[in-house]
Amino acid sequence: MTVEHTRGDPSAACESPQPPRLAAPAHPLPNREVAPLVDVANGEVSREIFVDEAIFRQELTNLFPRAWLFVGHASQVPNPGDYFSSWMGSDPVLLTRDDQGEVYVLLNSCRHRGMKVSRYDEGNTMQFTCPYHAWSYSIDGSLVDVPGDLHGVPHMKSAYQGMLDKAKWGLVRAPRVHNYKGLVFATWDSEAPDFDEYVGEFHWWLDNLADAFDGTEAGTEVFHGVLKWRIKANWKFVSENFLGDTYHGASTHASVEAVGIGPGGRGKRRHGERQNQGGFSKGRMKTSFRLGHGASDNLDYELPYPEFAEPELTEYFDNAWNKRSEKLRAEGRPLGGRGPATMFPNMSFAGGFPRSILVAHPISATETEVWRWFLVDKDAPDFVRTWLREYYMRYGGPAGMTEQDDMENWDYATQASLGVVARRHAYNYQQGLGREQLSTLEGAVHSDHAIAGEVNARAFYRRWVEYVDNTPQDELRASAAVDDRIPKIQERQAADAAEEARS
Amino acid sequence: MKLGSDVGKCQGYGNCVAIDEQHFDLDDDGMVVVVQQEVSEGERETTEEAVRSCPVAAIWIEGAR
Repeated sequence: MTVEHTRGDPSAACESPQPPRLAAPAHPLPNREVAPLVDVANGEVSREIFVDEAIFRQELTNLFPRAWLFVGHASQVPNPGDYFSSWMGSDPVLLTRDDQGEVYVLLNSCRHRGMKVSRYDEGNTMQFTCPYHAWSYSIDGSLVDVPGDLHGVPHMKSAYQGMLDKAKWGLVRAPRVHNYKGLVFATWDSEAPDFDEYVGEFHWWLDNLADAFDGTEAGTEVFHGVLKWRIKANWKFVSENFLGDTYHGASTHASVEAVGIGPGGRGKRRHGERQNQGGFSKGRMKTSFRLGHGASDNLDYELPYPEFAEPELTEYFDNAWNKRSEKLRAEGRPLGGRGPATMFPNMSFAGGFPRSILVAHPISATETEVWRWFLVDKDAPDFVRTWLREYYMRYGGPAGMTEQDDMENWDYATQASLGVVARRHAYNYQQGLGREQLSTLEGAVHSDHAIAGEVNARAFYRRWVEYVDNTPQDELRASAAVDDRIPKIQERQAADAAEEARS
Repeated sequence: MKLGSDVGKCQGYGNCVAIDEQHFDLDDDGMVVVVQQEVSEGERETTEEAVRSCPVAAIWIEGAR
């Protein structure tokens, strides 16, 4: 599935130039055990985890640097020297492409005094020269051992008597970078599982995001420009919303539905669901992974592309759907799985209408910077690009109507949960408790209801506890290797069958 | 081929000297001095690398900018 690999031996090539010798203590603040705040068995989650600053610091320390995070799209850095400024948890990073076409993720902070070596959103350069004292880092692999290495410092000879070990003072590199069909992920943790193990069978949703509408592998690119805005809400509201909360749609987005912003226009649905498929949600179940990932749908839930108000668009997407159906059926693949979905912890996306990636960057316990990328087929004709761009803008982003609905909820929910009394009372996650269904996917179960069902959120917060309580990577892997929800479902089904046989 | 330089841009990195000391040196202030202007065909590859290694583009091969 991987399109590109790090040159040579990835583990050797990408080791950080110098292990931190004077590292900050792993727990700068007294750690608070978060496990007692999440009661998965009874479906209750304390509000503390959405508002408490100490817990937020623990997330920054124990969760984000140890998880695989979405950094950017390879189509944002198509040429040697291209770079894109992004964030991984608390840290600014640069997604770069070197002279050999490989992508790297570098900490955007000079090793001398920490200045951001690049203050631009994106650009092209073969070197980052720090504005402060002009330490210069090269991404030209023919000049340095590994892109990001320190290439020169002013007055090298007189200031350091030539003794500065440039090989040890390069930009800090993310030790593991993975390009999945153009979606670039990275982790700071050398001990983290391989990307494929981290995503498990959730990769089918990533495939449907990264492959073109007609099924062409990795056939997508992003529209130029990322929408970025801040909300006064905890980042987990965002992740959870796209993880499988289809329950909010009818109430929250009622006015959007009334306006008719979708492909079919007025009177049609905002995601472009067709009217003739025997009910909008027939056969739909949510999919919850023990790894923490979740999707609002399942792979067998086929949702053909919309019927547009404009016949030429219907024709274009009908052709794409037919081509994709043929291709996937030949591969024995089901046609569903477009989301919305969230890859643990903070990358959300949808692979249908709209087709978009969202990252909820944590700023504080009660503030989040939201970034949205919008995808389009690489070979889409102009009229399709134009239509999608306009649809995306009226749908999502800070000015998008659906996004505004969601932001309103998350902002007010955060504010109304900050009070001393409010914080004493847990949120309710009991939908579908004890009614989970078996899945053919490994390490996954389904909801028993298309719209209601909070099994995804329960698994997300269970995984969240494991990370935030700083469970070692080997134990994290072991706990996700066996989905203990599955035998419980089997026991329940056996009991139900026995009960039925008796009656 | 001839070398050009702009000492006003130089920051004394010294990368050029480390790669090609036949053509470049640093003066007492640590700034670049072109010690040999002419670049032969045989020397070209090394000198080009030295030019490319300058973080502030203070040196160049005439006509190749």
